[in-house]
Amino acid sequence: MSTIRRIATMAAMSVYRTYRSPGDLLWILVMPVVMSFVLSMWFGGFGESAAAGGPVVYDNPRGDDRLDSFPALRATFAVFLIFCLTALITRAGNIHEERKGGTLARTLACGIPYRDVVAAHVVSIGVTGVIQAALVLSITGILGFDWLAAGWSALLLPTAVALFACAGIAVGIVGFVRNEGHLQLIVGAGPSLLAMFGGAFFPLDGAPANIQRLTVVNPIYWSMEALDGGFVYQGIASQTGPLAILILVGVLGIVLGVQGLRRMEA
Amino acid sequence: MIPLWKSVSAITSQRLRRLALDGGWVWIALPLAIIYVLGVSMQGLFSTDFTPARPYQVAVAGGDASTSPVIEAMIASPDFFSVDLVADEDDARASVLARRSDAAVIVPPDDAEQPFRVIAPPGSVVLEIVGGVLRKEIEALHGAEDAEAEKASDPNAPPSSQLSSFEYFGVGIMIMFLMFTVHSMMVYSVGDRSSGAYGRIRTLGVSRTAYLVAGYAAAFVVGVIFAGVMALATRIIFGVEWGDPLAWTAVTLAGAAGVASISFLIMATMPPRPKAVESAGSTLIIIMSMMGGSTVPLAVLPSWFADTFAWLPNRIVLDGYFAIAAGGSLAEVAGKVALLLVVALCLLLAGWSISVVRAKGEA
Repeated sequence: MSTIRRIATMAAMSVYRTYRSPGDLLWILVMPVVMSFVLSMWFGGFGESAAAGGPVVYDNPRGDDRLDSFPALRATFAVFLIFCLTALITRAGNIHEERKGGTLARTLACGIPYRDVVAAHVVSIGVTGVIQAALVLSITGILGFDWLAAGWSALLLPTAVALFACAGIAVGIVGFVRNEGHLQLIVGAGPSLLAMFGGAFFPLDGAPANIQRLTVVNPIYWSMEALDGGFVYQGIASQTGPLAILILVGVLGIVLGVQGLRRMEA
Repeated sequence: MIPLWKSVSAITSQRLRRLALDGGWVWIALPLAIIYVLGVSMQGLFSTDFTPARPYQVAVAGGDASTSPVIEAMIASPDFFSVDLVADEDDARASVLARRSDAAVIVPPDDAEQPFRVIAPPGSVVLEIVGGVLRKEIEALHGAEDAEAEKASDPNAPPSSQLSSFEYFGVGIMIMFLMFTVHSMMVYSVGDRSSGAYGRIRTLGVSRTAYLVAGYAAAFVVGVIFAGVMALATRIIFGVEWGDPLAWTAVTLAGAAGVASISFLIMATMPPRPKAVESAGSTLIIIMSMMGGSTVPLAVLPSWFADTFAWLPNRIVLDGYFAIAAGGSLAEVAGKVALLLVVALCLLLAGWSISVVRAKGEA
């Protein structure tokens, strides 16, 4: 069996196992969609007090009425990012479960190189994220979220690149964290804290200046900036900087994570 | 047959020991860390004298922008606004699009009956602030009442609107983690079934009733202990004021009973697998926390939304604690305590009935 085919088979099985589990589906699909609706109810009319008419009226920078629903889209995208990062770190942690359960040892005993197992895990993490993104965005889109209000690139570029960054972070974390309890703690608190510190749900205008400065190392902040750039500002021109930083985060995460996993082999 | 009280107390104390030894410190450290993060991040928005970290850049164009008293009022607030006069609306809009300005204001011609126009990202704070200041100045020019000042001194404002961010989230996050901690006890109960411990205990003469009562009692006791430890920790670390101890005790006992009943109902309804009960509980708790004002301040929620979910047990507990923190006595929260106890009893009976039906055939 060729290396690529072997990696593809292992990755496909891994993704299939993830999407076959009702518990995983709850967190990958059901929760993001439910939470999106809850949040869209709060954020949908955040600018309405100024837009309601009278002596002051409101206009968005592009002057397009369809973009007035952007706060709801932004909150939904933030929910998707949190659950995407959560799902990918959990999925990435399976390599340690396999090690603990003996599956990894049996796989290696069958003559499959360890690097192929790691490569299959990295690929499966990416594919899991892509399927999750496609499902969450499609379902919320069908249910009324106007994702294409600013065109395809405004949505697809931040989604694809943020997904890559999340996959990189997930690989990076499991490369260095083997303890299941520690991983659970990171999964439980990490993505939500990153989102809160990244201004995904609440504006950081009221936060102290030092907290605002911390956002430069926060991938969720750059993901939201990429989305803002596409929907509210100058499109691709505004997205380039944030997307470049996210790609850097993804590459660094994957490189460091794979090195960490290879150290475990040694 | 072992007496009911003896088996209940033995199982309850074993569960408490297990929680304490099984990384129990995380249940205290994690909510404290989240309270700190939310408290620090949101303190500006909770404060009445909010000032941005840097002034907002506002491009102004149109009409007689340079002499408009409304714009002069903005220029007179250098901590909030840095005003740039630009040639026309296109320049102002381009400035926002290129992110040189946070917002733009288009001033209407003097003789036209047109409104001021604010150009800013939808949902942004700068939009609310610029729009609010313009509205206030225009109303002042027309001799209208200062609605904002009136609102700020409203004696009927809810207790939650008078709290600092640490006080708000100290209570809100504590209630959220109270639900998580209590639910972990129910997960232990289900775990005993799947590990075979339940079967072994039953063969030793412990009745099914004793086992269920012990599960509920352990959840209730853990809830009360958790609330006590968190109240003390948040008082010392963040200065959260919890008010009258007697009223606090009543709300805590009723709240722990209500939350334990919710978990009991989840346990009774879900398949007897720890993962299933844990996932269902976590999902419900996160949704209830968001709808009940634990993680998102009630002031941020639309009023219709906050009112719609005021019946949630965690929201009743939240309102109870806020009322006590604002100086309320036991008599003032007696209604909420009674309501919580009724809700707890109803949920417990519902859960009990379901578990009785599902256990038919069990010896």
